[in-house]
Amino acid sequence: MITAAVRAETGRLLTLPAVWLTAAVTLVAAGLLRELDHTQAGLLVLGTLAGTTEVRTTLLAVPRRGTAATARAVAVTLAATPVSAGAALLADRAGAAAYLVMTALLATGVSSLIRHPAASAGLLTGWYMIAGPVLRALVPASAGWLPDALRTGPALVWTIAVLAVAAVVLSRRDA
Amino acid sequence: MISIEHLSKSKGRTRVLHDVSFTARPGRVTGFLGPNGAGKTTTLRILLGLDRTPTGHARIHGHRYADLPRPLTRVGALLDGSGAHPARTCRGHLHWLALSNGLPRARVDEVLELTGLAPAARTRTRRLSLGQGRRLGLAAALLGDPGTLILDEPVNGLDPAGIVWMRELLRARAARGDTVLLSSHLMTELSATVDDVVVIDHGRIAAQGTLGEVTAGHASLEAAFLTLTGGRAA
Amino acid sequence: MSAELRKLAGLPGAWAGLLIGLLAGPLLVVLNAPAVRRALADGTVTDRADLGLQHLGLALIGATVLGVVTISSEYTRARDDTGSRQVSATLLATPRRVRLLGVKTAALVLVVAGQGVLATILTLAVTAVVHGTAVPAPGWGRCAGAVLFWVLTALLAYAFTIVTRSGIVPLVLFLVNSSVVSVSYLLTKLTPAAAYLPDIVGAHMFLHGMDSPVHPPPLVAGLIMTAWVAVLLAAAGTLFVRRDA
Repeated sequence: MITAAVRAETGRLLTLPAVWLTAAVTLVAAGLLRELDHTQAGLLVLGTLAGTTEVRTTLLAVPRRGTAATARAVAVTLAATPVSAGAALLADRAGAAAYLVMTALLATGVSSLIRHPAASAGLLTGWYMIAGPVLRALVPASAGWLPDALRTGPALVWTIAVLAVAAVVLSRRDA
Repeated sequence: MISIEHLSKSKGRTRVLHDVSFTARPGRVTGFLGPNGAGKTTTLRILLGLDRTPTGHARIHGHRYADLPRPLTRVGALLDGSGAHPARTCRGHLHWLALSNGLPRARVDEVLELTGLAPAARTRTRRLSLGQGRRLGLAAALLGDPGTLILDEPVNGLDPAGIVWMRELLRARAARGDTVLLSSHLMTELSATVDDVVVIDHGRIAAQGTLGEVTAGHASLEAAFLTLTGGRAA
Repeated sequence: MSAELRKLAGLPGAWAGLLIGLLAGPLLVVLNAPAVRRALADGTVTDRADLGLQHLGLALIGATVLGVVTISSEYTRARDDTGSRQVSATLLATPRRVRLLGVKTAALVLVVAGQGVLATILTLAVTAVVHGTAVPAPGWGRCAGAVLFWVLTALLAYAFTIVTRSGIVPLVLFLVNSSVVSVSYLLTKLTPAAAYLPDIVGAHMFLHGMDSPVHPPPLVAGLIMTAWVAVLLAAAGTLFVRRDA
């Protein structure tokens, strides 16, 4: 069942035109700017697209919410990996590829909690582009424990935490 | 067989369902009637595992929807809209759904044919008319050739030919032993389609039985409905 | 007009934009005070009067959000992948599209200009409290330039959203570009022509010590940015009038 759910969810993501558009823009930005501070916004959008579209239909096809959430996380990982690897290489930061995949997963979790695509994308981008950098400028030590500083360790912890919270909340509330 | 037992639910401070119980039997079309806001959609969403149940049970063949392996092969559901992303094609939408329940790809074209959507297979769902959107929703419901159909306002948006087609489809399904539960507030149409009737009003079951039982003593199903629901317009 | 203002007032996103715009500037002045004091002590500041208005930069997100939601709210679907969009109802009530767009634009300008004036006053007042005479107040001309920049930024986001019909694309794009180091600024390092992008060139209206390949006088800067906005608005308007709603 989980294999079918993963295949379907991956197929679902890869047939959304917006996903391809986001991937293309992300790679172009990475190539042009040769950095990831801004480019990571593309992964935030990718995650948001996965977390906020066709939720009801997905639950009718895969009603076990744990299975549905797991399949979605795996599908996002599969879809985000080539984009992340490409962007990281273009920006000469190959080591940051895993961080970028986690950024997409984190966005999936946050947006599935918020449920509104534009609000989620706005909040996430606002955090990663503005609030996070401002905080880091004021309190440099915060880079070690916030999810958005291009560091794999904190991003991993945050991503796991957000996905866990999302899994609990989504299994309890009305879809 | 669909069985709803002692279902109660509140949304915020309002009680939307009070101890709702009824059954929909195999081989029969059951009409679920009620004015707008009576609790029809909430009941169906609980039955489909979309809304949570604080108290009571909603089961299909003795199982909760969420416990059905490959649910699309057991239950077909149609809710409002098509449920498809606007940028997707009809075929693309049905294809990922088929994948999710391990259904053969050939089923996609079969249901497109069956629902008359074959010419629109490559159309993006944002370009569909209301009626076409409903047909796509129905195609998704029929994808796994399920033995149970749960349909929320299925004739909404269909043209007269579509309504007749829908009626014949549902009758044929019941004739082969399927369980069909549909909600509606179109009385005239419903009295030609259903065998059994469940009337809900203000979140409570107001009447249930065969069409004959519920309409006994009334001029029509419509008259029975208006009496049972206190004359409020549907 | 009052209908459009009322519509805006009914959107949680619009209120969020309004508050961000008003509060982000003063807040940043306070948070950034130690860094500003250090810069003043180092003598690295080229124009001290810049320091007050500089903190308006991030608050511009508020104006951007207002510009985006004015349009995106019309195109949001009522429910998950179903339902109709408000734009149909709007066009049934106000079928003449040019007029509709004019009214919408006017409503936005009114709200955003008010917000810009208030945000500028608040930010400069807080700057005066925090830094006293160390940071001189900028002249009226520069303050007016800042408000104009504010309004033009909102209109830019607004025009962009008319074209995309979705809130996500412009919101993300503008948020990414309002980052501490903006994308436009990075592009000026690639090609000097990027210095004529609206957000870079427009800032010359009220900031003097900018790191930029070109330094047009405030009036010219204002004209170039206004031209950008005018062209984009005209293009967006034409599209809005011609296409199916």
